[in-house]
Amino acid sequence: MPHNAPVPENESERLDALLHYDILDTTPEEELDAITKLASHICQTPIALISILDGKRQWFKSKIGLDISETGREISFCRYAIMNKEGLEVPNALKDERFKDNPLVTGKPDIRFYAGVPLENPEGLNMGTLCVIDSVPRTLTPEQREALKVLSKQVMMHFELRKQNQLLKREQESLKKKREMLQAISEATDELLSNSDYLEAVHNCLPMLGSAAGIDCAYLFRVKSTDKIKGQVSEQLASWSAVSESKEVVLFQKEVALSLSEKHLDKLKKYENIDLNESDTSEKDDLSSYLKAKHINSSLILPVIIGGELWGFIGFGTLAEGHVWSESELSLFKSFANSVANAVDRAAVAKQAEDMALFSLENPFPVVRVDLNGKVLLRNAPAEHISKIELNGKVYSDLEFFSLIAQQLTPVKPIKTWEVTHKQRHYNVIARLSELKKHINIYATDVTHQKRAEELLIASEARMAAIIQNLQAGILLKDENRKVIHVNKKFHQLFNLPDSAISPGEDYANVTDKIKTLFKDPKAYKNRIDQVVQEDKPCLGEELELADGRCFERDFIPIIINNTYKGHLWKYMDVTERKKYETNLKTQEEKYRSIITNMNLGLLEVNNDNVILSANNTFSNISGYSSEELVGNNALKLLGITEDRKNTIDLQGVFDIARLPVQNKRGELRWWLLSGTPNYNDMGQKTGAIIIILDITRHRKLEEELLVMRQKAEESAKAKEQFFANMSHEIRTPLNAIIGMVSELSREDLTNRQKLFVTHATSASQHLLSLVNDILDISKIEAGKLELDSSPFSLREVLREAEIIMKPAANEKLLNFNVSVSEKVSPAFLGDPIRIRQVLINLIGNAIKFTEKGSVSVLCELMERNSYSQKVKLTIADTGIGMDEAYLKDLFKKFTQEDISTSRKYGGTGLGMSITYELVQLMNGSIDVKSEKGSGTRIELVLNFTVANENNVPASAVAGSTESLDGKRVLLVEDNEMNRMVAANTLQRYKLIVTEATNGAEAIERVKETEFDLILMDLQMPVMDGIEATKIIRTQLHLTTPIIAFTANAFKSEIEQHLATGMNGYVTKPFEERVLLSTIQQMLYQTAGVVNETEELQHTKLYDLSKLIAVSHGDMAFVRKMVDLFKVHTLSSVEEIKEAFNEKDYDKIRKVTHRIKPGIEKLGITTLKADILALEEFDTSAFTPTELHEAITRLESTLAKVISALANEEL
Amino acid sequence: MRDDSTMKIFIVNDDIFSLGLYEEQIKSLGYYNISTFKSCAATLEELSNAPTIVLLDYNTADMNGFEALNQIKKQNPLIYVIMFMMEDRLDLAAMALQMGAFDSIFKDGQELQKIKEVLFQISEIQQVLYFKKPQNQSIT
Repeated sequence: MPHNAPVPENESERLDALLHYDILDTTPEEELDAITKLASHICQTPIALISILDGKRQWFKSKIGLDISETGREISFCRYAIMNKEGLEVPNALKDERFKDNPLVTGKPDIRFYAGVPLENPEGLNMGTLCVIDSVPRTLTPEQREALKVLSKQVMMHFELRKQNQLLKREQESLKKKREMLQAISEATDELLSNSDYLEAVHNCLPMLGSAAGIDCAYLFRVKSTDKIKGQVSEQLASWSAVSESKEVVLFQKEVALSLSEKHLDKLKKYENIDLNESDTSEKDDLSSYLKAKHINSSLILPVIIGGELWGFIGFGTLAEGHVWSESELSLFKSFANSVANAVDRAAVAKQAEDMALFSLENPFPVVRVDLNGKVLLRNAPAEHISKIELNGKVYSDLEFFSLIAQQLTPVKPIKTWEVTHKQRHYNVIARLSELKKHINIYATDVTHQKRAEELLIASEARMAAIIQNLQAGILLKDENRKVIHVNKKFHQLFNLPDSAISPGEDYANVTDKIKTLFKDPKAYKNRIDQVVQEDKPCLGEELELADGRCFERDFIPIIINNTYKGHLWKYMDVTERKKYETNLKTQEEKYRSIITNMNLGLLEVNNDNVILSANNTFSNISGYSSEELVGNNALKLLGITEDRKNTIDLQGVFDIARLPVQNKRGELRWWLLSGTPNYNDMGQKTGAIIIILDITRHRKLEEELLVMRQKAEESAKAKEQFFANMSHEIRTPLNAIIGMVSELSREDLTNRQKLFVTHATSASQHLLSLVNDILDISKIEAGKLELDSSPFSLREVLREAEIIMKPAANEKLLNFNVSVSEKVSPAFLGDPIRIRQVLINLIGNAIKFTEKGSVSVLCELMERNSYSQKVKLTIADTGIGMDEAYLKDLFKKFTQEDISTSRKYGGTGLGMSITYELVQLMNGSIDVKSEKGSGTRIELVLNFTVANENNVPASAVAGSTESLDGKRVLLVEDNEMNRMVAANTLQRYKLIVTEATNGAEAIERVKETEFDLILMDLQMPVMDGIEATKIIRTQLHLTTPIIAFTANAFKSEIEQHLATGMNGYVTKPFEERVLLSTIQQMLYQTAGVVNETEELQHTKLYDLSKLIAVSHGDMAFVRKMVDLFKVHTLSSVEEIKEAFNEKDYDKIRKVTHRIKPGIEKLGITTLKADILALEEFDTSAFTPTELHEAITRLESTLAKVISALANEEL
Repeated sequence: MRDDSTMKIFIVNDDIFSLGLYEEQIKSLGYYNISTFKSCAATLEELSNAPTIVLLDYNTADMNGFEALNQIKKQNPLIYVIMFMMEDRLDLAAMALQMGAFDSIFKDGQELQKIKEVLFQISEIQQVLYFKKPQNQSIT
């Protein structure tokens, strides 16, 4: 097998020797080709070769008959041939076990025959073979073999010669290179010496040196100071790399910083070189990797050391592997490194020297050297552009200025300074004659800043002085030696000194002496000043009183600058006004404080969360809690203001006064009055509230007591009313008898003398009656109990009545008396006809009374009208005695007549006008009196009436005739015998059939026995009174016989009550015959008419809308609405009452009645008035269920009638 | 001057006729901000609308007048409550005053006149309060 091919024992030696011949891969050589040719020729073979056996191949140095230049060693025949001195001969390769499978045999060139002789060098090592080859099997002749051996020796000889030749050549080259290198180093050294910029020199030198040494690159690094991360770092300063076509170009980056390993650094520091090889893997650092990355396989690195310190290093490198640096290279590079070191050192020294030289000219301010004539020798950059120098207001050019300087300097005065301005800057110029007196150095310094600062200082001082001078406080400034520095005008003024009494520089002690007398206590003043100065501390706001009453405030301020005492300042201010104001304020405050304290006003201050911040003593007293117990607590809780009321009493807002029941600490119920206002701080932010609390428990109690008193007063008024009612009854009853008796007496046959007496008695008793009536009226008015009726009436009728009544009196005095009424005046009004008549009669009566001759006239006119009301003016004019203006004022006062004689002459109580006035006021009317003494009086009465339905006006009392009374049966119930007699007499005179009863019970007996047309019933009677009797007649006997109350009680409320019990009318005692008869007539007529009258007519009397119309002020839509409401809702209320009655729920009856009462009242359903009152105030003790039921039935039927009538009403 | 015609007035009465009557009267006095209620309960619910005056009937179907008065005073003691009373019941009127009512009106046929007087009184009181109150609370 070819793999088992033998390898010579000394193979490595052999290969080493082969390299020394330097023959592999060289070009063919003529001499060797000739030998090959000869061998081919001798051996008669087509192929002859000189084969050199290398480690892995056989290479053909010369070849005949073969194209390829080499084959693999493993298929070579040579490898066998070199194994012995004789070589190898293969006659037929196919038959040789070693070669029969060889590709050179099996394929081209189809070797069959091979013969090779080794090429043996003098050391006995075989470099290869000289061989011949044929493609047919054969053998060599011995001659041929011998010739081949000789030829192989020839080849070897050639090899030897060639080797020798090459060695010579190489030595020559090395010499040349050395020379070049020497040349380069000398040039480099020159360059380094001559070029002041060592870096540029190095830059220039590196290529020179590199190309001379035949290396690929060279570089200079500077070792920099320690880098924190990388340690000592080196920075590349210069580099060079060879430019060659065959070789790769090493490219250095421009700026590289590398770190060196400790070992390499150590080496360099010890002046040792570093020889870096690719194979050398012992040390890895930035430099090694950097170079490796550039494929610089061999490097030599030399230190550059300056002054014993490692400054940097120079490196040289080649791409060749394992380059051995020759001695000459080493010495060359070392010398270059030294040169560089020198150059660097020199450059540093040179730079220093240069810097030193340039130092003085680097002054930023102008520096100029001139000769003694002022000619410029030298000037630095800032001095280049000097022009227009201003000196003492004059402008110079630079040269003019320099010559000026030169003139002014003399050897005696070799130095001088000027202050100049140049381009708005200030300079200090110093010129100095040089040592040798040959030139002048001029130095200018910019002092603008100082100058400006100085100016500012002066300005600020001036300003300060001005301020102090004009200050509204007296200022005195002293230095540390107690000398006055500054004193202002105000100081002089304050102490009444002439303007320059104190001058700067004066000793302060003098000043003190000058002014101390002004003070109230000069001695104390001086002592205090000494003390203050001694203490040497700021002393502010001290108040001093002056002898003239003024008050000064004094400040003492020591002036300390940089911890050194530099004097002090006294400041005096006149605070007399302020003091006064403060005192005022204090007094004021004390006043208010004492007011608040004395008012017992509690004060609470709370924050925004209603937490109490403070409370005053009064509040503690009010609440019973101590201040400590209060502070910090919630005010709402304390005041018992619960969450739901928080909105209504917001302590935080401004709220009106609130009254609160609060429990104090002792648990007592107190009433507090609260008021509060928000509290704000100086910034206007709300900080809480201030609450003022006043304990009003006592007031509250008083209030309640007052109410009770009011109640009592009402009761007492009632009692008074009762008293008057009784009184009038008691007086009227006998009076009634007297009048009746006298009246009866007058009808008897009397003598003239007797007639006169009776006339006087009649007049006196009438007067007494009117007096009683007037007193009763006044007392009612005073009690506020005089109530006016509001019922339909005819004013025309009232006037007619008044006319009828007053006519006889007028006729008696032969006065012209007439009454006229305007047609425009409405036939019916709503009002109180009785009272109107009373007023008219009073006024007309007065007019007649005070008129002796002439006329009395009454005029009724319409002043204003609208659909529902009329304003009417009644004028009563007379031609009587008139009144004084002075008296007019008192006209309406009680018990006054113009003079006592008047009273005597005309009589009268003096109450008439007063009652008239009060009545007119009650009617909302006005009365105006115009009078002139001696020529008469004119009284104008203006009244406002609501227009009423004409149909509702009751028939006139005076209208009927007495005829119709004939034969009517009357029951007269009266306990007083005299009264009974008077009444009976009167009635009988008019042909009435009178039955008498003395009390109610008796009356009922009579009623049961006999049928009557009319009953006259006294109210106050023994056994059974009139009211009870009426009730029985109405409810038990079910009689509808008209009942007329006979009463001495003129109170309307009482009368109405009687009417409510079922009475139909009343006549007051003592009765006037006329009134009694007309009432009887009215009753009889009315009752008779009821049967015949239509339903409608009856209904029209059931209600009256005029009250409602009055409320509406003419709004008929409202009236309609209210009437509709009444129609819809009233009956259901009645149903409720009925229901309640069945359930005996009396409370409900009361309530519902109370509810519907206003409606019934406003619709003028007067017939129900008593029932309503009874139901509303229903009391089981006062009414029986039957009575109650009747009242309810009446209520129901009446209301039903009213409602059906209302349905027909057109509104 | 303060315009009192804006005062809010509540009228409480379970009788529609009375409601209409009183409302008409109050309107004729120049007030227009009037609400009417047929029950106390409805009134109490509306108290948040802050009436100045409540005219309250003593006898309303759903609640005793004193109870309603109490509730109103609890919610807002500043409201003027005027109670309508049965005629001549001074005892009840006194009690109402003690419980904080401003005044009582008897249903004696003179109610309308009395309403006028009471409203005039309240107006006067308001006037006084208005002038006493600090006019400017604004902070500068």
